[in-house]
Formats: sequence, C-alpha cells, structure tokens
Amino acid sequence: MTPPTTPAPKRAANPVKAAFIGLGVMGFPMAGHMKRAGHDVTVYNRTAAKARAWAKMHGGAWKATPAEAAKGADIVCACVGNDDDLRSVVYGAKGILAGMKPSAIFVDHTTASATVAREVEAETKKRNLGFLDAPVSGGQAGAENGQLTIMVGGEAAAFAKAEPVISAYARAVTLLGPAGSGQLAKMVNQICIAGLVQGLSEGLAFAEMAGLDAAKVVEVISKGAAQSWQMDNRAKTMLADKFDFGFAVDWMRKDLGMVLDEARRNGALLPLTGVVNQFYARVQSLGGGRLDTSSLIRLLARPKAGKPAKAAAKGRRKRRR
Amino acid sequence: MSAGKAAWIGLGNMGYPMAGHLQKAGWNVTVYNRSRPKAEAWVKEHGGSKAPTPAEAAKDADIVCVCVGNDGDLRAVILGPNGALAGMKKGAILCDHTTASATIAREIAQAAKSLGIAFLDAPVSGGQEGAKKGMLTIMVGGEAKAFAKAEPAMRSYGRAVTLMGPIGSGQLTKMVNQICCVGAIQALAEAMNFATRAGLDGHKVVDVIAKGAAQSWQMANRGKTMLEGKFDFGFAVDWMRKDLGIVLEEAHQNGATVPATALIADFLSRLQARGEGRLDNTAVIRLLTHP
Repeated sequence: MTPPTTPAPKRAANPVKAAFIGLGVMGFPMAGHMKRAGHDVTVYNRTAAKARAWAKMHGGAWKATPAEAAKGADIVCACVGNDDDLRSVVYGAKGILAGMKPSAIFVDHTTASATVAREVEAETKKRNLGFLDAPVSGGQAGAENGQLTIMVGGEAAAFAKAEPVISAYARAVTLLGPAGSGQLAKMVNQICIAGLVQGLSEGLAFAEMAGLDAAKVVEVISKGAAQSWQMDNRAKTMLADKFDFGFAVDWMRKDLGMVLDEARRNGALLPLTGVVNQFYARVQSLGGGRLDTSSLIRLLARPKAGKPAKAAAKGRRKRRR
Repeated sequence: MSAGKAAWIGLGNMGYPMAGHLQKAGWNVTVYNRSRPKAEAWVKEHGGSKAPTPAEAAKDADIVCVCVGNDGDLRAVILGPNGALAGMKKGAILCDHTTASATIAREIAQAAKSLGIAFLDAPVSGGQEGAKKGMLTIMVGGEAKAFAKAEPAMRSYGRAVTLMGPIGSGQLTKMVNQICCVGAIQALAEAMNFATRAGLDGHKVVDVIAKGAAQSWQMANRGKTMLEGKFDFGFAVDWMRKDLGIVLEEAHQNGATVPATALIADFLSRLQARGEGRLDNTAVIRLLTHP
C-alpha cells in the first residue's frame, strides 16, 4: 500500500481572522489546515481538552464558548454532529451569532438538513451576517489531507469571500445555488452511495455463493459499466470482512434520515434508498453502528467459513424445506 | 493465409460486428442467421460464406461461435436436429457469447463433451459500441485447454478476455456484473430525480459528486442523459429484465439473497408493462418522474 500523500500546506494570499467550532475527526484537521495556510484561527470545542490539544498542536487560540471564539472573526466555520448540535452552538447568548461582528460570514460544514440551513440563514440575515451551508465529502482521510469536496449553498458575494479561506482543506469548492443547496447536493451524494453499496454487496455475496473467485470477478467487471468508486475502494475489504474503518453506519443512518425527510417535502420517490435505510437500521440493531457503510454485505447470505460455496448453498436449501 | 475455419451463429446487434472482426482477423468465417437477409448482408460486407442451417455452417469449423437471444434460442441453434453440434467435427470448440443461464451452459457442455467437442460459456459486456469497436470484455467459463485455443479468435473482438473458472463461470460473472449495474442505475435514478425535485442544477451536482465516493461508470456516462430524459440508445429494459430473470433463478438455486436486485427487476417489469421495454435501462428513472 502506498502511504497517503500529504500535499504541502496552501498559503493564503490574504490571511484573515477566523474561528472554527467543533473539533471532531473532521473539524480538528480542517482547522489545522486553515491555521497552516496562514490564517489567525481561534477554536471552540464542547470538550475543552480537545480544544487545548488543538491549540498546543497548531499554535492557535482556544475559547470557552462559541461566542468568544467567533468574536472579531471575518469568517466562522462550524463542523458539528447534527441539526440540534448546530442550533446549540449557533443560538443563545454564548452562541456563534452572539459573538460575530457585522458583515462577517458563517460557514457551516456540518451535514445537516436543508431546513436548518435556511433557518440559520434567516437568522444571520437579521444580523447583517453572511451564511453558507457547506457540507463536505471525502471522509476523515480527505480532511487530514486537505482534499475535501465542498458543496456550497448561499449567496455569491459570501461565497467569493469564504472560498479562498475554506480552500485550505479542499480539492474542490463549488457553489450550487441558494442556501440549503449544499445540503441537498450532499443528500444526492448519499443516495448514490447507499444504492451503490447495496448493489455491490449483493453482487459480491452472489459471486461467493456461486462459487466464483470474487476478487477475480471484481478485477474483470470493474473495467466496465459495473464500475464504481465503491467497487474500486471497498470490494476487497468487504470480501475480507473488514469494516473497522471509514464512514460509520450510524452517520449514514443520520444522513439518510434527512434525505427521507426532505424527499417527503419535495415529493421525490426513493424506493431503493428507503429499503437500504432499513437495512442500515438492521445493521445497527445487530450492533454494527460503528462499522463502515460497506458492512451492508453482512446482512446477506454468504458461504460458511471453510466450507466450499456449493456445499453451503446446498445446506441452506435443505434447511429452507 | 487463413487463421483457421470458423462459424458464426447469430448476427444480431452484437454478433454481426463480432463476426466481422473475426473475418478481418484472417479467419475463414461461415455465418448462419435465422433471418437470411442479414446473413446475405454480412457476406456482402465482409466476404466469407453463409449456410442455411447452424449444422451446415459449423461443418469442418475449428471454432464455432454463437451469439443469440436466450436459453431457448440457444437450445434451438445448438442442440436441435439442425443445430451446431450436429455439424461440428470432433476436437472443435464451441464458444457461446449469449448471456444465458449457467444451467444451460452446463447442459450444452455435457452434450458437447459426449461428441468430443469442448464448450466455453463466454458472455460479453461493453454493448453494441464495444462490439463495433472490437473492445468487448469477455468472461469465460470452461477448461483451460479449450480457452487457450479459443482465446486468439476472441481477441479479435475482445479487449479483455478472462477465464473465470469451470463451465458456467462466465455466465455467473456476467450475473454479478448485472447486479452491480442495476444497483448503480437505480441509485443514480433516485438521486437525479431527487436533485431535480429539490430544485438543484443536476448537471452541476453530477460534476461535483462524480469526483468522490458516489462516483460510478453509470454516473459518468448516464447521469446527464437521465436528467435530460434521453433513453433512445444503449441497453434495453427488455434485455436487462431478461438478465435479471436469470440472476434471480440462479440466486434461488445457490441461496444468495438479492433484495435490491429483485426490487429493481420488478421496476423493469413495470416499465415493460407500460410499453417502455425498448428504452435504455436507465429509464427506471421514468417510474419516479412519470409514476
């Protein structure tokens, strides 16, 4: 395996004063890239120990509340868990909005609902602040390498100001439309992934049950119309039953929950996504919530370890009768 | 100088250009097709010769290739009284490019073996485009010796030709391919329709997400045509429904669970019932846009 390449830090042409709220597996390295690009970064995290660790590692400042961290910043970025976490760091006397200076911009990297994006935008407007909803994809590895894809919703003027700053941790930053559009695009992304992983799971488990050399099958069919990022990057680990890495089922469930809510509002039919959401619920109930999303294959029939596939299939048929 | 004597049974969208590549590669090809005008047109275009029955076309050939519609067609052109096996010489190789069941592959292999003829099941992927360019992916099941003999001929229309395992393995590999394809297509259909309903610029979204974990061949090649409602090309709903029928039958036999594939097979049936079976199989999005 080749070691991950870490690109040289991107130096900002115009350093700004920035704040970063939420130092989880994504936020911690993202804020680090921002600091390395030359910006003056102040951080906040719910558990202060992480904020202290970040300040020690990257040499920025940390504060005890979102409001204090956001004070005086030109740009405030957040990356927290869900809609409720977002509301708790944004609103109230200690929240981000209470600390921000007029005409500063709030950029939210949380994968959240389009509804909360529109709601926060309305609040920022009242205070003469800019807002962008800017969920990311690329996972922890993308955050660590500063190679995220950022899908942005909001107004063009705010985007133009924020883009050079958030580029510190991105490979691609794209404005997709008004507030909420970033979240909606991320939902489109998750719909594709859910169906792709289920299709790949069924394909691989079928190959095993049919007695094929599944790795060899992948090698052949990944050159054609069946190819996907998931096949290229997850088929091998799925066949090896390795799921202790990657994007957790719990997070996917959260994202699909938002997708299905939004679909109910906009009238989009999601028959396969709805079923896969149920499969993920089943993985959770079996205790697999922390496993990678590719663990969907665990729900499917597979040959018993050490037994040739044909024998396993025969045994199964017998039991069914 | 001729590379050898070959026969080609079935000159449909795929077989016609494939047989052409074989003739161009130096084989002396005799063709058979159920409707004669096609065989006549092929001979006019490529040279070679034609025969009125599969048995006569297969006579004296070192290799006989077949590419027809389904299991029933295969039985007729191979096992019937005027079928290819009735005309083939001992030691020749019978190579089937039809996407069919693993069961019929095993059945034909047995019949061939008793006549001293080796059989390979060798379904292809890459579509009509791949057949025309001679760039197909060929997934082969059978014995290594027969594969080694047939491989040079298959190379004339195949970019990647791989022996997957014993008889039936080519068909089973193609089934895995179709399972992955329909999963990717249905997911993409739901995603593109959701994007449209959400008021997003779908083209722009595809450009962004095609660079990450949501990427697929289907997204890169069919995302935008789905958004535009274009389905007058590609791989028909009817054909994919046929292939999934074979998948579901095989899964029933080997115990594999394929819930999403079964769901999508049902969607394809619905399109057929609406008279949309000839559209490209990405038309599953029409069940969402025009329910």
